[in-house]
Amino acid sequence: MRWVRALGLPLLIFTAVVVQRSGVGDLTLVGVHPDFVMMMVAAVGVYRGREIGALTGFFGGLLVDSFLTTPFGISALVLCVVGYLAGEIERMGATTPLALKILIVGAASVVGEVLSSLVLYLLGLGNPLRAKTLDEVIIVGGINLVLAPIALGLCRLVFGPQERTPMLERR
Amino acid sequence: MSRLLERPRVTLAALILLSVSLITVNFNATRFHIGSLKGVVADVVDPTRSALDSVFRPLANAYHGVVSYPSDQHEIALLRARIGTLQRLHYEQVGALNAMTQLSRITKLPFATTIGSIPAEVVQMTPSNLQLTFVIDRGSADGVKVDNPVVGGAGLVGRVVQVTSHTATVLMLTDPSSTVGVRIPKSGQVGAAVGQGAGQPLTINLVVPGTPIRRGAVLVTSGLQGELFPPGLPAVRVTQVANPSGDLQESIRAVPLVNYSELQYVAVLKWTPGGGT
Repeated sequence: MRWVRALGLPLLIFTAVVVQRSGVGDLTLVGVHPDFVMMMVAAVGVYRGREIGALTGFFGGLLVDSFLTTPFGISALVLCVVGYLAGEIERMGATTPLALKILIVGAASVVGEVLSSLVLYLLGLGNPLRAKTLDEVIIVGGINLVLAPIALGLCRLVFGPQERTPMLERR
Repeated sequence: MSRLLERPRVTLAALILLSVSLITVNFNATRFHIGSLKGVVADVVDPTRSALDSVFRPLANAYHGVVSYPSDQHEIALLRARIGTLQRLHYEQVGALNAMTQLSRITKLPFATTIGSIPAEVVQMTPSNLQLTFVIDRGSADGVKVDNPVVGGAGLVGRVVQVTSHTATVLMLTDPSSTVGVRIPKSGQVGAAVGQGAGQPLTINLVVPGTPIRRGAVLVTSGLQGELFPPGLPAVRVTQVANPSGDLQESIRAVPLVNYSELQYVAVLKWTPGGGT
């Protein structure tokens, strides 16, 4: 069972990347694609904390970058920050309500979208002030907020029930 | 200071640094072959993606159907309107081409070179079951007279039966009251082409049994004394020939050389029975 747990995280991210690349990822709402990988990274961050969140985001981002023509490393950069920020919830301890966790996944996704636009702008590859940016931020954040319970449920399935002791208290 | 350098932050900093390094390296892609690395990842992911696709594709299609239904309907309506416009343009062009062909033919009638003619446009097909006629836009003011033969580009159409100052009514060859004297080529035998009504072939009466005639032969007006038409106008094409034993005449069916439903321009020949041109 332990090795299943060990393989669980890579499998989770790999599945998110595959789903993103499949017909499900092709679906659009007002011309905006969902971002399942970002949602899963944020959920892992919420569930396992900043460090695991950042590492998951980094390696998940590398996988995502493998399918994009944008410079290799952009998604890794953005997603590791998303995973880290979502993991900040660990500071609140074990009493965090589920609704807040869901909200954090959505908020981290919004931050991730803004950060993506910013990085692309800094590299001279996009204009963050274009009208579509706001749509992308709102829709990706909204979809990830709605689907966050599923992502958190998958995390629970892979990692098991969350430890009751807050990380900061453990120290 | 220790809070600042706690492990998660150091990890994040390291990962950010690594990401930025990767981005920098990527900009110098000629030396580092990241493309091949991407290819390896794609090779691993794509088979799984294809399998997953076959599972999720129907769901994705259903979603597309629901979400994009209003815009699809709008697009379908636009495309239908565009198809309608293009079809109308097509029909207009076909009509114009047809009219041009007919006009071109009636200005150079090979079978009526010695007879003057008045070009006219068909303005109405008489909406009656009792009489097969049509109206043209030329009348007595233009020199049209009753009994003037009317021809199209291919041959005889009918004759004028009624004239007003600016219009004239033409009796079609197919009208049951129409009779045209015709001559059979080669044999020189004459007969009478009698109309049988709309959509029905004319019968050629008074042809002596045994007269050689083949299907597809074009019969011309005979122009005998007292005839309603000048001689030599192509009138009908033979479609059926039979020679029942014991009959006093051959059984011949023929159709007009012109298609009345497509008739748009005609020429009124300045010729009257007995009076000539």
